[in-house]
Amino acid sequence: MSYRYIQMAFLVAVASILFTLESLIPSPIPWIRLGLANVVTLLALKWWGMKEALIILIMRVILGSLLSGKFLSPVFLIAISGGIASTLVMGMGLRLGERILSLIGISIMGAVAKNVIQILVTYFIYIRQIHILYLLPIFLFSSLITGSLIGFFAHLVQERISLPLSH
Amino acid sequence: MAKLKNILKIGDLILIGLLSLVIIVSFLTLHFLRINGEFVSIYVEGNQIYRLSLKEDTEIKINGILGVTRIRVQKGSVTIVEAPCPNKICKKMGKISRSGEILVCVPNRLVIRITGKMDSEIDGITM
Repeated sequence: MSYRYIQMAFLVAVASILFTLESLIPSPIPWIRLGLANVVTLLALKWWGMKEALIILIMRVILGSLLSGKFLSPVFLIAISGGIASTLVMGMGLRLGERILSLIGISIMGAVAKNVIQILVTYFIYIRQIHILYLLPIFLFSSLITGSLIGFFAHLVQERISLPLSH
Repeated sequence: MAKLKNILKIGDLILIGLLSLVIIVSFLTLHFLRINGEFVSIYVEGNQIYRLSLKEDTEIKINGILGVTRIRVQKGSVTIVEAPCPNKICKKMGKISRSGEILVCVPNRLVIRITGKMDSEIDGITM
């Protein structure tokens, strides 16, 4: 059990580094990021389960936001709600069974959930303007692209590393 | 090297197909609903504080949560020239000129929206 915590802590570190590195790269399109740290969420879901993946995600978002100085800011709340939504949806996707869906499909589902929840949170908490919902098609399109890429990366990683390592 | 063909499963293909369809349909719908704008509405925290004509070139300063945002109306389009927020995403959103298009600055709770003649709620969008 304690060995698993060490591995989870390691993944939190990896995810925080990916998250921070990515935020240093300027995005060509505002509001759209690749979300490299989601590779870690996917792997945690696959190796352990929903609870572990959620713990890793929440710790990563807190650490990442502390590192970028956005803790408890609007950006933080939007990020954490999107992250939780995508983890829950991807967890359910994995339960649907890997015979039907690969990590790519599961990751796309997660990306869509994340973007829909983020735009809804922005709408309900920050900007009560129905017009920001018009941005949804663009976010759906970016979900398709980033979700596929992240799912593919996660697939490549899990082919090479099989955690949880036994010792 | 993993082959994409071997990774993708039937559920993935259905998912990608359906999502692509939704994206194409929503883009087309919004595209055909788009018309050139007439007015610029500026909202802070959901309240409209300005309504300007797109035809008159001006530059105004808006007091938001974080500070002053400078907005320029020029040749029928609107841009955010100066913003107090840390990421400057709203500046990067560029120019808008058509009905339904918006510029948003989340940290500042600022929304700039272009409306058409009839000011209908279903207008359209681009980024």
